Amino acid sequence: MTGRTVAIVGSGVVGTAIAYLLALRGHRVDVFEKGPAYPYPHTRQFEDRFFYGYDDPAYLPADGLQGLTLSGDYHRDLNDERRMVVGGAATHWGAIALRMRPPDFRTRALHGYGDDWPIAYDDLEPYYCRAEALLGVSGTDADNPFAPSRSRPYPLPPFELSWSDRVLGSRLAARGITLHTTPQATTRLAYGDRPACQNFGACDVCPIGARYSPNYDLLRAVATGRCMLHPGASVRRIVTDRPDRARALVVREIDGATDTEHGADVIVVAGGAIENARLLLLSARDRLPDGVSLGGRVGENLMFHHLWTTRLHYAEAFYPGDIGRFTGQSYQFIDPPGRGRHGAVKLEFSSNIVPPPQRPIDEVATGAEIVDILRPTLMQRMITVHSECAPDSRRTVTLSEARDRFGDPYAHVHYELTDFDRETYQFGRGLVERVAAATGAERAEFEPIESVYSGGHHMGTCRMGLGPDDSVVDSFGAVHGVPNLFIAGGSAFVSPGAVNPTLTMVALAIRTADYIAAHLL
Amino acid sequence: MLVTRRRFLGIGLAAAAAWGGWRVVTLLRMPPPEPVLGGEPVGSLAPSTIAVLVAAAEAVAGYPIDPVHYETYYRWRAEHLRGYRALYERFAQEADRGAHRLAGRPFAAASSVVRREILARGPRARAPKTAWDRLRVQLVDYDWPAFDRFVLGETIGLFARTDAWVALGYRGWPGMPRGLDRYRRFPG
Repeated sequence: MTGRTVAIVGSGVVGTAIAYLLALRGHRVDVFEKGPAYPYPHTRQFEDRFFYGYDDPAYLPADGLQGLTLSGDYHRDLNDERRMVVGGAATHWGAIALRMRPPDFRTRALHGYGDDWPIAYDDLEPYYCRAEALLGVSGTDADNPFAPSRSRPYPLPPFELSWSDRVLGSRLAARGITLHTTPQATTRLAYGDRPACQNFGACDVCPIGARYSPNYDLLRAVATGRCMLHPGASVRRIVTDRPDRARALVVREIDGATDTEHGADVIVVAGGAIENARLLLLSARDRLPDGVSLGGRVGENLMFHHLWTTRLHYAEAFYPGDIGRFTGQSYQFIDPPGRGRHGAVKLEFSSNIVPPPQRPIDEVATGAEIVDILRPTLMQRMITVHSECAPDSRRTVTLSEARDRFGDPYAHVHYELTDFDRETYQFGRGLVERVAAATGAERAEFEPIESVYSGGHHMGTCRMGLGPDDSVVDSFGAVHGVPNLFIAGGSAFVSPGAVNPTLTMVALAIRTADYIAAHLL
Repeated sequence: MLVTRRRFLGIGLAAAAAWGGWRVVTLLRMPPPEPVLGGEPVGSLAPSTIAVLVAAAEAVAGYPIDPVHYETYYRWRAEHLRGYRALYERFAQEADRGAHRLAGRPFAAASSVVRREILARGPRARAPKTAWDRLRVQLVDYDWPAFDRFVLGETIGLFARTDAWVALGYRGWPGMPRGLDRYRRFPG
């Protein structure tokens, strides 16, 4: 321990991983989170929802704190996807913890689209193992012939396929499609002091901590006595006093009248792809005369995980919803022939019961009507196409005209769908038609391409690369030319792959933490 | 020109009738009032009020229910959210009054047919179909839009999240610790 200090912007799964690992090694860490405190385990939130039907406004960020403007082809509520509380969006995540495959890091070289990462799968593989250990991932590759190689087994055994997934899986197997278990950061067995999952089916507010939440490790970090958490503290700028050094954060308490400067030897920005870009753009705009020029690439190549869900109708009852949310999925099309004309696709059977949208439940008067509305869902399964997009100049984060409560511009997100995305959509739709036919579905209700959903997975805007001409940070997340300023998490992704990105974000975060500890502290 | 007393009274009565008619027409044209919760203080519920609320839940559900989580729900909202305790108490009084009128007994002791007949005032108040229904909401059932949304509607929502799953054939509902064995077997 050198007495040098680290300041982290954002308390989500990435900021927390770095804070925890550095605090564990004896370093002094401050974590700034603009959102409010969020109790852990999430028992209270669980009880609010399931017992009392209550959505506590105490867990919402203060007015005028969370906002953005949006243009282009994305029509979902992006603000709703960014959960600003202590613990960040992963307080509510589905906990699917997947590895990207080696070709995902080299799409330009192998398939002629996107750009290649400056690191390869093999560079990241040991960190994937550590990320799985940190989050407590339950899984197996024994039933997944398409899984990438691994040097260590999963920390916990898998959640077996549900009854209905097994039925569907056997029909798919007869048509050459593999359905396998889903690795997830939920405890199949007790893990450390986290109890085994009891299948409350309320994963996003898991009341017992079986599903990993960043708040678990935040509490452990704080318990070391070396990590201080600052909820309700908005970081407005990064101060740079030399061309090659970040000196401090400008912080405003949510109800404060003045800013304070928080000095640190190392600064890590881990606020999500959109807010990270916004903070860097604000800091670059208002920099001191000798401050860091952050280059012109910040905010470029925003990438969303592209999700489309299809409702499959069957003549038989499958009783979805009997287990959490996910057991069965397929990696089979994650590196498909034809990749390059379109992107990769992961298929995922959701166990959610989703009432049909024709009639809202709050318009009915009797239980019999409710049961009549829900009964058809017994004979439905939702299947989601998770698909890859490619980095593209038509997807950006810039500064908006709209301003937050302190007068700072919000982020403006411009997101267009491309021909590549349309081809990928059609490819995914064709796969779902195959699945529907193989499993005996009578009908499939596809979402239109315009309904694309990011799943709350936002990537790019500060991507990694070899130098400032093509990127913002190096492979460890250090801003080119500013070795003590790091941008961590999905921001640094070069391309997104088709799988849920959180495990990759955490693997990168661990790699960043190792680098900081070895070279800067 | 002098107006005779009789003529004066006649004019007055005609004006009153016209105003009354206009008022009735206005009321008939008005949509039902948007239900809002009052700001009355929170507090605990009497057992008799809970009994009426659970009896209403049984009637609305029309399926077997586990009363415990309904009681928990009503108690918590009365004790934590302004307006609910007073609304629940008014609802219980109104339901009991209706049951005494129809069946000569308290709501909780009335048959499910009687309970449903009383509770049907809720949907009628939310979406009145006839002029008479609309007038009734304005003049008599003015509390029922709020009863419909904050008592009956929320009860239906709670049923949809819980006992409806059992009615559909599941062994439990999300929110219950269902263990990791049964999900691998056929639920029925």
